[in-house]
Amino acid sequence: MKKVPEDHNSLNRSPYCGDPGALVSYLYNDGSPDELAAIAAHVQTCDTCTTELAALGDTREVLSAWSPPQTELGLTLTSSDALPVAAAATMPVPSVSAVADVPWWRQSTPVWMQAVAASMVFAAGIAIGAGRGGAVPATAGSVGSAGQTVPAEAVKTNAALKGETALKGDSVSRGELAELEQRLRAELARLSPSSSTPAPAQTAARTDDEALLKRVRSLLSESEERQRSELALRTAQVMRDMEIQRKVDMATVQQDIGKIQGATGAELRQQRELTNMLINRVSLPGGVK
Amino acid sequence: MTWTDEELVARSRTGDMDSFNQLILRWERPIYALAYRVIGQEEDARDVAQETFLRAFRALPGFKGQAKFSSWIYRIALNLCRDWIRRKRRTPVSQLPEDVDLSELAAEQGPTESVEDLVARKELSAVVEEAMALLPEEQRTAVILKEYHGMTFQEIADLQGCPLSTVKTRLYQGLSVLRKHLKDRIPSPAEHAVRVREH
Repeated sequence: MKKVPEDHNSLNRSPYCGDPGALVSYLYNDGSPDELAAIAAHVQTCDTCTTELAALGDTREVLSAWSPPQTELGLTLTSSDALPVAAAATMPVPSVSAVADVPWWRQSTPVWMQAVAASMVFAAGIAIGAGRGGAVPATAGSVGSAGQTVPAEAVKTNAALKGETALKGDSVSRGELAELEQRLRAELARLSPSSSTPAPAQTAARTDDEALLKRVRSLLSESEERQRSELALRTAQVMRDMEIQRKVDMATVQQDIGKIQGATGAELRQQRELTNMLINRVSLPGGVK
Repeated sequence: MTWTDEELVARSRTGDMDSFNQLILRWERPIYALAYRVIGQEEDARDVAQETFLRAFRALPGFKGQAKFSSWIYRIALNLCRDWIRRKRRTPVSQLPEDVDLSELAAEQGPTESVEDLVARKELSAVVEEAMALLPEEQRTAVILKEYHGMTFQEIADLQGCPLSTVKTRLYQGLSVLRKHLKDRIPSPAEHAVRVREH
């Protein structure tokens, strides 16, 4: 489709004049050399096409201002799931070989093991508190089985939980906890002097450790379950209390509204009576002047 | 040593994930830019770019090298953009976020560009986006591929699946619409000065 401008000199007419394809080819310099040369020859003699090309060139210049946001993409794929894992590149990878060269008893204690040990001390604290049946001092730390100091917060939590855990849902008996405490004491006493030299029966010790860890884990999970149940009960209780309070408040508000309505009605009646009286007096011959 | 796309594709097909990631690194920016300009949404453009490479990776065994890798990946991206447009069923409208901190942007751009220049450029960019959104999808895609990705008419024709003459016509019509729209929208230097003062 060719679009020939009206004011175009007929002498300048060429197959390229006003041809969108030719103009665009020339504009982007995309075409065969012969074609581009022929178009260029025409443009030099055609003011209309020159103007048109200049306008299109200006438009292109403005278009160059449009740039997409310079966001960090960092797209990568992994062979396993072929999903983008930009963040995975920054994750630290533990050096297995470096750890394996060090004997296990000289390796630094892993965080999870420290957490388990802390939980065991915590459980022992619960057992002691439950066994004594008395209040545990909450203002200072108490000394644990291996001479470790239990933080005051933990003792406070212990004291707070004692009343609940000891009274409700005793799935773990006190005897079991006392036994666990004894085992912990024995275990820690056995481990502390032999920390510089390897134990003679490491395999047996590991088996004991695993059994102990299993037991502690089960105790912890039971404790968590109890806490969850307690939380659910307390939440339900709070919701019930709130609902009751809401109903009471609604009743009070309705009562107050009724009183206000009654008072307003009485006042309106008085006003109406007063108005009637005034009207009557005014309407009488020789009434109020 | 810099591998060509074809070499990286060949290595990727043998399971060399690093090679494919090199291809991603090489093409993620153009693909994202294409998606952003076609659909006009930053987050969605990023998703389209991710999906493009994921699909390319999964389709790699079927890629026999009959086309350039770039053409192939552009085709995947354009198909995904088209799907996105159909799904959304709305004209892409891009706008400058209202909470743009211009001083922060200026700091990102470095000391060579003043805040005034930055404001002007951002405004101009927004006007162009607005104008581009007016174009029909085929014209817009043709303009984007030619103007911002430097493709030849033939490459665009192959990607759009239309004759070469159609591509030229789409480009001419698209540029004509843009010219008319931009003529009215681009503020004069005096208007620019007032806007900058307002900011």
